[in-house]
Amino acid sequence: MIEDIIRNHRIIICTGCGGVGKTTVSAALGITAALLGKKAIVLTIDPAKRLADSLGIGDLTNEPKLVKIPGAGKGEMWAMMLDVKNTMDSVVRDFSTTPDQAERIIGNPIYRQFSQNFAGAQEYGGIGRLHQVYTEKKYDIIILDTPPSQNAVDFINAPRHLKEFFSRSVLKYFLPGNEESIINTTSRIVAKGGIIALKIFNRLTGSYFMKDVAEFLSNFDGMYETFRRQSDEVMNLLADEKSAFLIILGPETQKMHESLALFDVFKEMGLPFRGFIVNMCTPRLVGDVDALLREKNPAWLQSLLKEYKIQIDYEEIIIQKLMEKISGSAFIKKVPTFPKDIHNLPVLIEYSRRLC
Amino acid sequence: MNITGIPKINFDSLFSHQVIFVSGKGGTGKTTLSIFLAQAAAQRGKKVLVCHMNRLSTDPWEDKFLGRYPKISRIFIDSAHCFREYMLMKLKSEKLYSLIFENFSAPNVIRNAAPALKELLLLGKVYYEATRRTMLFTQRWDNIIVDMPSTGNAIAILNIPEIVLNIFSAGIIAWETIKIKNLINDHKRSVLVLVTIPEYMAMQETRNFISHVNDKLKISLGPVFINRVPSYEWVPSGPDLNSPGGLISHELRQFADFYRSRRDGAREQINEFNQRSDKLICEIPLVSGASLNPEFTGAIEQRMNEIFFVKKKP
Repeated sequence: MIEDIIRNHRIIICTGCGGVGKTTVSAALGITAALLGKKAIVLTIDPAKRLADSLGIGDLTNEPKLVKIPGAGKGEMWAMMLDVKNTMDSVVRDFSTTPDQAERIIGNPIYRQFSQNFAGAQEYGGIGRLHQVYTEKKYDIIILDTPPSQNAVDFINAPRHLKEFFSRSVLKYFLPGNEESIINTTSRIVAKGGIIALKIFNRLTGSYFMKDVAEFLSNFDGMYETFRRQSDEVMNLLADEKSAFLIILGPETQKMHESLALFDVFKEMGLPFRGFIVNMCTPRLVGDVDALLREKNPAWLQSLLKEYKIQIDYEEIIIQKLMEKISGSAFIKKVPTFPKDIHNLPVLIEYSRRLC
Repeated sequence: MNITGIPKINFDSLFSHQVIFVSGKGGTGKTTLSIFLAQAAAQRGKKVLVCHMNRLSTDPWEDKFLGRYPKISRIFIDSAHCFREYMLMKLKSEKLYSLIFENFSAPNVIRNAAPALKELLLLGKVYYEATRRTMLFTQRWDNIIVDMPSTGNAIAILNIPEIVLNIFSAGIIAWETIKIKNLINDHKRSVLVLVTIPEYMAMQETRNFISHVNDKLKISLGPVFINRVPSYEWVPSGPDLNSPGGLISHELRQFADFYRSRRDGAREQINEFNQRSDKLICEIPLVSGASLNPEFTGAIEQRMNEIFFVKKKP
């Protein structure tokens, strides 16, 4: 069923809470796509460098790197790791009207601080890079490993927030000499609110900051339209029928609750959710555990069998709850815990076979 | 049960820090550890606040469990609420707030699109709670357990005061940021504890996190909790699984081997961590079936009690 997902989509977005093997699943999907003869790219935004680790191919960079998959034939798998700062810079360069403008923005102290330090930079960078890779049209399928953010919602909202940020009504308040236009275009109360807000922000941040922000934003002059268009395009891209959102989780209640909440968000936003991958499930190790428990076994073995039974029953309840929620609208794939640590390509290929 | 690491960790000294930040790789049990730390503090007679940052959902088990400790309060903080609360505090008027922020989009956009501010707001809320007083002017909270996001985001958050101060030279935000920074960097008042699990990737990430904290941040680093350590102490260690209780079938031998290799693998990871780091560690054993299992709360609580040295109630 996961093979079908790969066959029928152009973008697969792997989401989910941390520590559930998102990066590994993304890499495995890339490998499977290559084995199906596709030209695939896996885009990871993970600062922990896990993808490079698990692929065993040394450092990944902001530029796509070909990973040799034995038996892939004409299929190819490329991998890249998002470098937030470089991505932001390249987005600015792509969109600026003149090289001079790009350098002015990149040299701005506020831009320098924000473009690499804040957590949300990963989300914006990821969206930017996704758009770049997509418009290049060099790949049959893009697999996106979302940032390890507590809630993937930030990521999905990034294009919308970016659009809001660059919307004219907001920028007006910050661009010099625009006070009149506030009054012209919006009602009096709102305009009054705007001026009060500006005063409060001045008090909060010191007037230099507001001046810096105004300068920073005016540097972007002429690029807003492009940013807004890009945000729209990404939003459409994410909502497209050819995109697939997957939620990866582990068999634990906490993760289940988080995943169900995420599912609701996707539904509400009309995003094409396709399935849950429940990673790290306990493998079926024995045939009939109840029968074995009735047999006369050494005490330690009896305890172990009991432990095993508790765990598989528990995992079964989790799967049941997921099934109730989706009521047939998507798939649920249970993937047993992999017996080895996945940190080289052959093991990862073995894992992909089990996943797909 | 033999739990290594205990003799080395002094939990009373851990709880002498008013603010305990909890972070670690995703999915290793930050929330669970936060809750157990809160319980351990409450059992020491402390007034405790558990502060969950940016959580999308909550497990009903947590409320049920914490409900038995009236001294523990819990809040879920996200930047939107913090923003509102902070602004209300500054503006002192609900009307003015809604006039400005609910009918007017710019500040909301700043709140959403300038994430540095988001993170600062979260820390600001922690700072506010840490400085709160009761009517009798005593501290409102003896301990605040901050359940942070995972590694990368936690580093970003802890780093925020520095960044903000690079950008904002004056104004209320700068002054307040200095206060927040001083609280975080005060080794007597704040500490960061990490949680991990005994697997290669997680241990690797923990080592990286520790060196990052040592190199780049000024916060004091407490013990490392290694969660979900499969002890299976009853599984024989010898090469021959048949020996302790007579012959077992091939199927069962494979079954036992699965658990044995899991246990031995974990032990190897912990040993390696110990060799390469001087951090104190505390192991928390794996309990199967986690929270849906009614036996769970009892089982894990008992083990946590052993770990935290809490005297059992008579």
